[in-house]
Amino acid sequence: MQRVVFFFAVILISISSCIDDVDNIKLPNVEPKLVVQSFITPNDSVKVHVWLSSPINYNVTSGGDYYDDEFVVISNADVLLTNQSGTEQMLVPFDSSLDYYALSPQEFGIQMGETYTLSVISPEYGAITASTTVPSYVPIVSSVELDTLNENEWGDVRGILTGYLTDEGGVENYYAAHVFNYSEYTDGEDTNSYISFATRMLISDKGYDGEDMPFRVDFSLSVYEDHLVHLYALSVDEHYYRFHRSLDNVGDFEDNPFTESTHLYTNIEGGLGVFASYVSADVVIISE
Amino acid sequence: MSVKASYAKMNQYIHLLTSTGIGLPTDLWVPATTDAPAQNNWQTALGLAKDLPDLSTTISLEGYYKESKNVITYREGANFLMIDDPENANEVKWEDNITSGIGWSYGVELLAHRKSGRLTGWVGYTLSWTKLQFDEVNNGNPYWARYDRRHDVSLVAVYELSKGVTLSGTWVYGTGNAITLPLATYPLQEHYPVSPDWQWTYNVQDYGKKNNFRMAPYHRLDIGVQFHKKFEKHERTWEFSIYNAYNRRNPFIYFVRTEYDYNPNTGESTSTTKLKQLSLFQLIPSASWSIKF
Repeated sequence: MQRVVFFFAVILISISSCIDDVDNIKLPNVEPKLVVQSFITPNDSVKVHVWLSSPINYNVTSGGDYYDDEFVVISNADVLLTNQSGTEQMLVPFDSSLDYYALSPQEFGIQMGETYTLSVISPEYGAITASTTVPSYVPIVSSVELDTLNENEWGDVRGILTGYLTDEGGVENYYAAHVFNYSEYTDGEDTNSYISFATRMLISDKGYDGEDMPFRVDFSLSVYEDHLVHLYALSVDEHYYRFHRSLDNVGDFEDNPFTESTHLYTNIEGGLGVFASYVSADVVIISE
Repeated sequence: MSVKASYAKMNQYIHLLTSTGIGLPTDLWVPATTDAPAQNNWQTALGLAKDLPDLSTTISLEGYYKESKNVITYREGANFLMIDDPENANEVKWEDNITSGIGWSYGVELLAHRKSGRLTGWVGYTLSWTKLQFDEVNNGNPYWARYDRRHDVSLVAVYELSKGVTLSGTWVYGTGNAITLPLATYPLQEHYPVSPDWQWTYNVQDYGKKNNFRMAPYHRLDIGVQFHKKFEKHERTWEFSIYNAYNRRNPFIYFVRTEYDYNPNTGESTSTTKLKQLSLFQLIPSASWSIKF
């Protein structure tokens, strides 16, 4: 009997895999970094989010439960926005009601074609800088068309928005076509509007310099909501384009064991995040 | 004493695509295509070799340098198994998932090989460096290849205990693979050009520099005993061996898991983010019987 037990014990040890805590190598120990995010555009407020990254301290037990995933908002930093020539420079104050730093367009007007530098200095967590050049070209939507197909027996609709953006020739340009559907609901006597979906397509003029560039955005619309599709066409800078492209990879492939690690694009020197800019064309509203 | 030198130019019409994350390691071999042209290499080596007749041993020392162009790797965030809709399978180009760059490797190898006598075998040691550079990966900065192996040692010995009985042992050691490990998490929001702000906050992982972390080194000992018997027309061998004799738990993959704990007495919740390793093939005994004609 003992031999049989020994035999099966050896077999079990041999074929079984084993999961252990890794404690036989030096694990990384990093300091928190400033995380800054701001997308600026003419005729709109400057909004600057400043957070703190949360280092993964391997094998260190800390307080907090599964739902405790709030990040620290840095509210005591000096946030300075400067144009290239230095003629415009302003501290962006923290708005505690919004939880980010904000300046109205009356206080600081963003200009097309201008380069801006953002610097954030935190007494505890150091300093970062980043720059963006606001696109100098307002995108032109040369055509747009919405096709709808019945998707299922409940009456849901598949929408296909296609169209063309006209590129500005001679320079490298990037664009984004954001598509939203607005629906309404009534609450007593009040009628409220809400966004029932949002999606977008990023476009580079590579291969289309100075030409009409096609775009196509697919989406679904519920039978229970209004169908009021809005198209926001944007000229964006390269940072905006590259950041959202890498963000798409994070969104598409998380939890997939076959995916590569995604280093989210950043143009923040000394920290993480993105400082980018865009110029918007007039909104195109398409109702079914 | 002999001196040898070599120079070679090679084209390789099949590419190795290696994952770099801490997840399931995947090595895929893909063919050279128009969008992923053949890998172009050149290599030079200089070596010294000396026979030691009294010890029946040959000692060789060789240094090498190799450069490769058109090396491919995954784009960041890429996923080779990206076909999520069979209807679109023909539209998916695997070349969209890769980017090409350069690689270079150099090092020295020392080998002492004993070919005759009751004790035969060899001792080998390689000290090497292998780096890659891709414009679209790691912000264009060079980084260690996954299989960059700073130290590689192999000891192989076969001892003739008596006529018809041999003992064998192999010990190998290699520096751990270079992998990319998440270092921190941080929030970021996608931009929506609508007002009021309509935002979704992503919880993103910061990986630091690519392949900046080393897995634990790989090593194991295999031992065996062989019983040989010659017959008129064939030779029969019984072999009893143990793979990974000291039951080393070499890491196959690493993964991150956060463990939560709740103390009902104090009402306190705690969490611990742990790096875990999965090990395969621990101690494996085996027996084999073979005949040789």
